[in-house]
Amino acid sequence: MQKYLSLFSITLQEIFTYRLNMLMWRVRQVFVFLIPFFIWKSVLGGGGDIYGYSFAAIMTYLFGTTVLRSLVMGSRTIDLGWMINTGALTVPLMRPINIFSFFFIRDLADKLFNLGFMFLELPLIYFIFHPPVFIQSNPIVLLYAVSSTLFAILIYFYINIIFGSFAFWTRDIWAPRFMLMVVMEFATGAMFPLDMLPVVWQKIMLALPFPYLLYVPLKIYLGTDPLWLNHLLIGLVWVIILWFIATKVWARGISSYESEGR
Amino acid sequence: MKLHRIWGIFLRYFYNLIHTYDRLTDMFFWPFIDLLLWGLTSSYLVSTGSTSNTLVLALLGGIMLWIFPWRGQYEITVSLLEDLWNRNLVNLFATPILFSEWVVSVMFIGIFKSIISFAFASVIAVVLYAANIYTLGIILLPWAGLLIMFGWVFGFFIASLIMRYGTKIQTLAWMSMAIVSPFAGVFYPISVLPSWAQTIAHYVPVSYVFEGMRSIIAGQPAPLSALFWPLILCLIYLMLSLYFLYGSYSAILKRGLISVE
Amino acid sequence: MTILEVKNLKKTFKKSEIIKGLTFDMQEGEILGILGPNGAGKTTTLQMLLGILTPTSGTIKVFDKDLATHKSEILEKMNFSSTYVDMPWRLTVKENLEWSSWLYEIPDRRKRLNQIKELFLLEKQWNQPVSALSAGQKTRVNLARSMINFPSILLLDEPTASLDPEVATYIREFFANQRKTYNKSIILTSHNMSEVESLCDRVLILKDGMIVGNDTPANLAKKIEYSHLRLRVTKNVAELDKLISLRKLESVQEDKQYTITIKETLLPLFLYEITKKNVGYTEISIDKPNLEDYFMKIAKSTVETKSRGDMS
Repeated sequence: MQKYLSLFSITLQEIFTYRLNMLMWRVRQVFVFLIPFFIWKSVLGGGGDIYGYSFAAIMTYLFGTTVLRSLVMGSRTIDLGWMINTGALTVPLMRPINIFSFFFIRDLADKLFNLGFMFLELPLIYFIFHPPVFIQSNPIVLLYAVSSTLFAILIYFYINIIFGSFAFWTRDIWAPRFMLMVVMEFATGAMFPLDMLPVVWQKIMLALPFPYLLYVPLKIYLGTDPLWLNHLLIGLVWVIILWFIATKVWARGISSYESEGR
Repeated sequence: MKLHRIWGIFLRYFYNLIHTYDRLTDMFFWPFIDLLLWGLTSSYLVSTGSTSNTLVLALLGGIMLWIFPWRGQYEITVSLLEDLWNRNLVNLFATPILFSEWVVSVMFIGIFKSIISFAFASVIAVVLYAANIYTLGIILLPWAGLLIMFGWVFGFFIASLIMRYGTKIQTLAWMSMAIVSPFAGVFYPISVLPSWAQTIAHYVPVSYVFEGMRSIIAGQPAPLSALFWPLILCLIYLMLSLYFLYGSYSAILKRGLISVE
Repeated sequence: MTILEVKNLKKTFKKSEIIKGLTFDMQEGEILGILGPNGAGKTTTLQMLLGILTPTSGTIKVFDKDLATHKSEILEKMNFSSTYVDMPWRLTVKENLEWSSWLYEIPDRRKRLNQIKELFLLEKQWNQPVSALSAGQKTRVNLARSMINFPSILLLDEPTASLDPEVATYIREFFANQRKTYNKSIILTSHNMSEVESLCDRVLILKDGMIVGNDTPANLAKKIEYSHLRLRVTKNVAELDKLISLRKLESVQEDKQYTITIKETLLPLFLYEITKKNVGYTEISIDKPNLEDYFMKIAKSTVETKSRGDMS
């Protein structure tokens, strides 16, 4: 246990190394949030709805994606490809710690850091701009939303392991990473609720793991997902599938890993 | 100033562009995604009758015009960062080039990429939503100039800071326009902002361009204040930012170009 | 003709005087080496000569023009190569040399690029990105870039570092030939003493921001009174050890191989004494002092000064 705590602490210290850049990025996140806030305020502030989303619902969705992004998508495992390419992976491999645990603990540290700042930024936005936000009070719904979020964290973790492992076979990891980012920007529901899309598109999206990162947990939280149980179970299924793929890809890749001079 | 040296620096950044997939795609990808998202959203709102049918062009026009200041700033700061990351600053300045030639080159790169990105976005807007920004008329030209000049203001200011403090503040390259954009009224009228934010918006030159754009779309003529007052503001800011930039360049020459990292 | 004049050049960083008043000149067609221990001020000096570091005081005149006011004009005819500087790694060798060429007034750029490609053996690497090159290949490309404008003055910072011996020899011969054929002037820093001795007409030795030596490599070496006597002892090792101890000489022993540092004037007497003591030896050789010995003497005194400073 001690080694995991040490790793957690070291990761936090690493994050705080470039304090100025980190702080500026957080400031940016606040201002970036304001654009959609004011857009929706100008469109829906006087009443009305879009695809069944009122101003309050959209604001809650916005807040929700902001919080969930920090929680689910705050990750150090995106560095895996770089670590393989530079040989930096050798160091954690030599340590008496399971490598997946190594990356997961680092992810948790990153999430804690992001969440910490979130809980400073969001109240600030709330007190300055007073957006209407829906707070879920049903503990059962909250429990399901938390479960869905936990699945989301694991899904994203394994996706990063899989994509990072491409570096075992190619130096150009940027291209698949970029494509993933492009798809995820859309398919996670980060930009807008996926039920704004035509039904056919929704069904295609929900067959992929990406909506289970942000959109599904949020919908469950809002209590507006009629198929919440199905989606919760599908989320769990994706965790298992991606775990399986990640372990297989990793095992294959690590057998061909080599580095020099460390 | 020598044109061939300006061309040389332009070539350096141009070659970098064609070899950098993320730089190439971000000229097209993000405008496309923004147009897609907000086009769909505004089209839906118009179809429900809950807003006027000018909303589509107003939102999409904002996205398209915002390309100019964003690119204007981004190309200056990221070009400088590329040279810092590549340890190429000495290769540039231990040559006959004048600092003013570097300044002019990065301004040209911004214009070049803005035009390409804007042209692409305008075609997408017409194809997907029949939203033709060119219906705004000839005023688009001076507006584009004003918008990109505003981007240069931020670009030079951030470049000055990066020169003095190095890459530890490089995040400024990606955050500076994000900070000013809520006050620029790119996608919404300034009246939506709280009163203190509206006061700030009065001193943001590009806010007049976007308000002017919405006036024309709503069928009114663009007020002259959409040109002259923001131009004066922009010129003042530009002079200040250039002054600061030259000061920073002199400061780093005293420290040594090699020391900037 | 004096092509470079440096007068009382000083540089202070945060109240610490790094360069303490350098005065030297360089003639056209001369190869001038600048040597010194780490921290002596070599790179700082080169930066000031290139105009990328503003001196605190002093003047630099190149082609009889003040660098501070005629920088652009002067740098048309100067160029440099340094290990501290890289090229944009995504661009190919061709692209890098091409954009660099546009920064200078070159009558026929395409012809010049082809010449450079041949001169620096870059045919295979021409369309490869710089990121794909080895350290030695990058050095060659850097050197190629330094010649793109056919400069009259070249500043070379460790030009043959990372190069294999064959290519390093080619590069040395190339620059020596450039001087011979085109009367180019070269300022060179290097840690390869034999390279400096073979190439440089004159060497400046910097120490703590000051010039402590300014002479030809041979004359600087002559300032060292000591030679190295090497011999492989076959009998009466103990006698030799006694003699060394008696004369208070420095020696390094590896198995039966001795390297004895001894004043040149004492050599004949010492050889007579070991013969008298019947010390048997083979493989005898005498290494006369060279530039490296002079450099080591300067560097050693720098270390000793710094150590004493640390202890006080």
